[in-house]
Amino acid sequence: MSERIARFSALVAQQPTNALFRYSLAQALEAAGPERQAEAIEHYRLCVASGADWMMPRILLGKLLLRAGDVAAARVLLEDALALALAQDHQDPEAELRTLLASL
Amino acid sequence: MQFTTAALTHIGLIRRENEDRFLNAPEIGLFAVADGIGGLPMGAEAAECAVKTLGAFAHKAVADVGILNLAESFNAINRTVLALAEKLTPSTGLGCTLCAGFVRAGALQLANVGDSRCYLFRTGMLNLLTTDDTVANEFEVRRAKGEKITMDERYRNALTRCIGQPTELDQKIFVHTLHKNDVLIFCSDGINRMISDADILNRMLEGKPPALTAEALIADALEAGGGDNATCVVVRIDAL
Repeated sequence: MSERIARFSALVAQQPTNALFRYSLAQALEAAGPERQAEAIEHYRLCVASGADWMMPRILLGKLLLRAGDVAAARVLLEDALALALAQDHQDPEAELRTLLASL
Repeated sequence: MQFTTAALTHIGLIRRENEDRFLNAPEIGLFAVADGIGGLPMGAEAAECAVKTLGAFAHKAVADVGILNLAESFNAINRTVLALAEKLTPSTGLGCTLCAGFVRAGALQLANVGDSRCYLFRTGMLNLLTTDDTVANEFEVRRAKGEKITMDERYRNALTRCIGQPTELDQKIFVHTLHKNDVLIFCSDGINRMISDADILNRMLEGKPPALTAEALIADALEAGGGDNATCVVVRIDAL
């Protein structure tokens, strides 16, 4: 896992504006366990900021914030993601988000 | 992600050889068009080398780390095509355009060198996502910066950059968010110099499957004169 983090950290350093590299780094950090969650959150936040219509990082960041106990911030992100899922006709994410939001 | 894709190429009605090549690899979310440079020999070999190198690079990268570094790939392709030129045509060189898109996690990573293009069709609108590396565009950029320059109209479509040059490429990498039912159209200039963006939009508005859209775009280019090889890769985003 640290190999993936190193690889994607290097890619993000090479191309800081490449949101796909940052997204992959955030996923690698998230998968590395609780001690790297704070870093993952920061990279997901930058992905969210990079595209107002990008649904995926909103879902992953929302779930991560839920696990971290920040329900209020997670709810905002997940509601944004649900609006995007509806607007963009992503049915599976829509169903998942409705279930998740109903449980909060 | 899930895609419906189609790729088609045609020699056109005038050229003796098809120097266009394409890559349609939905299994890794990679799509590309390359066009051998007119005026230099062995354009087909250059375009073939470019898409093959890209395909090999991408399959390995996706297997290893799950993502493709297009900037790194384009520099590797440039060096490979340059090596081919040194072997095949040392006195003149050879070259090609390359426009490639890598799709993952609802986003498109896009790079282009030369004048092959990528369009995005979304909710009834067509947007050109790439910038042609042509003399005309270069002059526009320099004029916008305030330079007082005039252009020789004979060279307005001449390329300012291509794959196969002896220096590292000045990369233009963009990331765009994708939505369900978006359609990406990668094409060589045998399409977009023969028919207008409005013609392409009208075809997209018909809402046909990618295979029929690709056929229609090639047919339109041929009907408009078929002055060049015409190639397109049409990619519809079906699900994230």
